[in-house]
Amino acid sequence: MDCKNWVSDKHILQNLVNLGNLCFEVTDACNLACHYCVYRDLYLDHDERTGKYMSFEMGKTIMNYLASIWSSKLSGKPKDITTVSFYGGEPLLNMTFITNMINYITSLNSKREFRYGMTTNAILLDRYADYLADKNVQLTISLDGDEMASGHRVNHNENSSFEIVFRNIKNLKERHPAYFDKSVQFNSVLHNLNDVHSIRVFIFKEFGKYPSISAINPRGLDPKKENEFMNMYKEYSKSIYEAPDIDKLRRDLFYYDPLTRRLAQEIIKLSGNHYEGYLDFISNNKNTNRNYFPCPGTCIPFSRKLFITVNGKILQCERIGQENQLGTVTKTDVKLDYSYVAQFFNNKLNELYGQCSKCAAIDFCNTCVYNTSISEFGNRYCKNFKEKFDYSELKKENRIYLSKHPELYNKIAETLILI
Amino acid sequence: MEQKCVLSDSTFFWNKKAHALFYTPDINRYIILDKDNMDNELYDFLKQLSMPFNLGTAKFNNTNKSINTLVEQLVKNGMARIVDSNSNDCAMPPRPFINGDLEYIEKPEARTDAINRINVMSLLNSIDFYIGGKTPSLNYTTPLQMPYPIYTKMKLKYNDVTKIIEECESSLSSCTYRIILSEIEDDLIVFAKKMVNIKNSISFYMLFSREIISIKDFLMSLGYEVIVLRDPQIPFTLFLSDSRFQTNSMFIIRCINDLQVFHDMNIRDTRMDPVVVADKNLDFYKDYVFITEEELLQSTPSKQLIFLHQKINLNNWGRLYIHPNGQIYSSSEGKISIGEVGLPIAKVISKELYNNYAWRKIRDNKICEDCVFQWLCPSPSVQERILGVETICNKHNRYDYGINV
Repeated sequence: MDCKNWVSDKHILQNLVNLGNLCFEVTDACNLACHYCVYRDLYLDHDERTGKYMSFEMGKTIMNYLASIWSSKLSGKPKDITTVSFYGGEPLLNMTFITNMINYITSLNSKREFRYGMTTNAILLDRYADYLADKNVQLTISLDGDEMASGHRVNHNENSSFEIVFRNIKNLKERHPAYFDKSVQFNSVLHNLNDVHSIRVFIFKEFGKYPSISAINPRGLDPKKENEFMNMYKEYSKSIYEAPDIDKLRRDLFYYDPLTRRLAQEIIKLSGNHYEGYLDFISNNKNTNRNYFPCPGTCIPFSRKLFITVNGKILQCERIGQENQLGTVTKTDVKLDYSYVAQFFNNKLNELYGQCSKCAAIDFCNTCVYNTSISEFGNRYCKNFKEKFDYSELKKENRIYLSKHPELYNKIAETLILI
Repeated sequence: MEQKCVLSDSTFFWNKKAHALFYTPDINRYIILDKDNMDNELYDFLKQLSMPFNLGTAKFNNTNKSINTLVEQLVKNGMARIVDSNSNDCAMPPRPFINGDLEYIEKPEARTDAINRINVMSLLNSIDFYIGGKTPSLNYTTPLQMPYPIYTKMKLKYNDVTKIIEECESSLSSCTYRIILSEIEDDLIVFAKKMVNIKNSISFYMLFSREIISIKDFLMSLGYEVIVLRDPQIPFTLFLSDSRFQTNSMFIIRCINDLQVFHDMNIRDTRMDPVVVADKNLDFYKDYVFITEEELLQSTPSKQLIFLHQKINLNNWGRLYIHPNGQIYSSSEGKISIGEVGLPIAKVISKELYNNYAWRKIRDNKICEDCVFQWLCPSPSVQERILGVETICNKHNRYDYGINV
């Protein structure tokens, strides 16, 4: 089988120069023990959680490393903006790190603009709300709906977290209404205790916002826990179909409605009329390589994010297994070999190249290589592989949907984002 | 029996006041209809077909002969299909879907954010540096729509030119640089030696005269491209007789006489590009430059080219012009400055993208909006503005009725 170099060390460097998101796993400790948490015993693809806290020295070391890259190369953008995200565990458990990092970044007086982001369970929100509002930290609060719907979000004694979380969010809204309005969003996990419609109704009624909703993560699942997983799992599109006012819900969801998403994906991947941006548009080399790039849903390392685990592992994303380490950060040093990163990534893609090149659905694929599986013989394979794929059937279904919702064609063009 | 006509996904259809036009780039087929004496049913059929929410579909029954003829022609040429009138089939009419399309981002903050996400330096195609000089007057000579020297006392510093080029190069831009000389000075030699590593990206433009021979030879010996501008307003018998001038040249044409001279010259071993410039010569443009409908119908623009016409100005996109006073422009006209030397070039480009002074100026004036050739014609040019006309074509409403396949 052919092995190809899909990316080179130059791509990796260029992505670091343009780094949009630097994400720290500031602790692997959490004050909750949600039943579906990807870092608990339902899943196998993460390091052991030992209640560690990331040291400020580690954060400072990677920041200095990146600052030296940013000062020596030009990104070509009018303004360089990097969001520094704090992730956990529960990040508010390590506020020392967060305040130290924000102070340090401010002290750099960099030309680059830094923004801050955090995903939190809101248990400690009352304690730090003023600081977060003051620093305009973009807050994503995890909340699955009302008390019943939040039944899987429990503490280590299996007690519901809802009352504390709800009160803290209400307090935040009351104390910092402008900040709440502009910088706070919600993320909900769909499961057996809630549904898309009721989640949206509850969060909008209480907080005036619609959450992003996702199903429970199926990647890295312990095969022995499959029953437990299936008891909690609810399919997103099925939940939409069960909504009382399905038409309104679908209109409101727009891209988050699977049918609209499928239509948009046809436009993006099959129509030949989609362009990644002005450069793609003007250079007229669209679709070069795209059809042949294995696992087209995979991001090139650091093109979106650089993630650092509490153990100092450098990964390209927090949503991939932590065994996919690309480099290391210690208190004093960063080890990141761009050639190694490129090779690691190329090898991953090449493991699936043979299968992808024979897959009938490659033109419509959105699979990330890190979400593929390993067989019992140790070979990587893609569960979405298709020997036959009926594009005409897909197009026909999309036409039927589009003829019922013709306004979507314009709306997709006018609100086009990366899907 | 009622049926439904569904255009193919690759068929462009424009239904304007006086005409309707179907064009399918894949098969290079045009169908043009004159709407002047059109029967009401066909008129309504075309209207249905062009309604955005109808997505390239229109219902018809077999009773109207002109509709039947049109649909038959469309189907025969692979431009449409006929389905049952109750079918949910529809077209996805060809249109460009561009991530971050600034046309649809109106809110200032969102637009700024969208531009900040773009590697704007990668959009840069060329920078023209007008060095200036060779006159005691502070006034400018009028810039032409080409790399023609501007004469003024003011001068762009070669140090500034160097800094800008280095800035572009360090951001891995694939830009080219045109240095337009008004006079020859020592700094030019220092500059040329310093930039020799990127000589393939730099070319020098100078107006023909006896003085340029040595500097031209020097620059060419370093491997630079040198273009000698031949302006018929300046006598040039020397050019014909002296082999030292036989190099890449641009021959400026303002009138029929210039064109005749250019053809008569018949110079061998010399690359000579004619460049037509607008300069109080509207009649010449009308007779020799403007596009005729026959030329348009003979052209077979690709889908990509039509999309480009709909979204950006191919004459201006990616170009910057830096004048001797240090002002930076996004159009060769040099009317609205988008910055000055010393500002980061990425910031200057972002100002153009935000305000759209030139790069995204498309053919959307009233006359063109009413014309079926709106997106088949080239992007609006500076020449049109200088001549005071709104279109690049010389006739608008002279299509004979009928189906021209």
